[in-house]
Amino acid sequence: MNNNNSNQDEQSWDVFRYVAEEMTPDEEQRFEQLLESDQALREQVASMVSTMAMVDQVHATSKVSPAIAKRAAKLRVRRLIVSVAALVAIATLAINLMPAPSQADAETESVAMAWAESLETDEFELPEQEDSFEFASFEIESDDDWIADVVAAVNENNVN
Amino acid sequence: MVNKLAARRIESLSYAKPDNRFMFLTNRFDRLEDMKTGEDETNLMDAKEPTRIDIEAAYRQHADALRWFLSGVLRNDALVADALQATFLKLMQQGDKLRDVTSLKSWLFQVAFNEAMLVKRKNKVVRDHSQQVAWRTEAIRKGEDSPEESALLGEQVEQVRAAIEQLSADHQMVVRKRIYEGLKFREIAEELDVPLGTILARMQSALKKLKPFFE
Repeated sequence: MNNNNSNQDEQSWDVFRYVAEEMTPDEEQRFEQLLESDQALREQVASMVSTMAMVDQVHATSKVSPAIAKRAAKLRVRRLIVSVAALVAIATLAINLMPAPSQADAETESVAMAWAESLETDEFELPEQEDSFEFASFEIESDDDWIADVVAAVNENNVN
Repeated sequence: MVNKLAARRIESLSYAKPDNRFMFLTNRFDRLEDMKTGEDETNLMDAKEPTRIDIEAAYRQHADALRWFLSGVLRNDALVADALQATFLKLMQQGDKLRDVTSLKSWLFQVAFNEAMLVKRKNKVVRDHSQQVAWRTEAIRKGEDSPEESALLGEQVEQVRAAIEQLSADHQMVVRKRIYEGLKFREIAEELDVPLGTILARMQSALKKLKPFFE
């Protein structure tokens, strides 16, 4: 009895797969060879199609059942949480991978700043008229005070 | 009255322009003017010619089931109409060779299957899901020839609805997505983030609940 039931269930499953186009071409061909001579199987195909049509009618004529709506809402929340967690993980990883400013960079910056500060602004005179513009030139003071300023700035940074 | 009804039924089958086969059928029915109506549905022998099959009665009794069967094989309502018409045309041409009406159903299904295979080989049609739902809906509509049939169908749909609502939400979702929305099982598994085997098991379980409707 149990064997009969499970055979019938297996056959019903094959019938469903055939009607729902879930079979591979080979499976479909083999199934159609059975249909050629098996009247009971042909009648099962007919019944399965009419049942599926009634299922279509059920879904077409009613809104989504409360049970499915609740399940769908839970799935949406779960997906949202997973998306946010993934974004946070990516952002954290990106921040950790960003290189920290190196000591050499800091020194270069302070040298540049010291040199800039040592220049006297009035040494640069912009031409009044564009036509007579030439690259500004300046004379470096001969006493090399600016070098001393730079070295002092570097030493200060090292101490800090 | 009977012949006009028969002609209307046959006419409703075909989406194609009337052709010679259709004209032959309507002429044939016109000659059966004295056919009785309301007689026992199981008596398929022609009242005027007792040795011949009563085509009209055979049509009344078996057309719906044949239409469902052909829909399952062909999945295209125009092709179903052609195959169904060809089946009853064969019955008219060869029906006098049939003496045993108990084998008529099997004979009709056999002929319908053969016609379907011929049509299928000629027409390699790839259909999208909206068309699949459309051909099932069309097949169900064609079965509603009277208010009584419509009422009966409505009752059956409600019984199917009740059976579906007994399923768990997970099972209902798979049934809806596979049958009504037309997603393949693999697509449902990906969407719900559930193993494919679980989806298949849910669908098989749901089919067991719907078993009384298709067995």
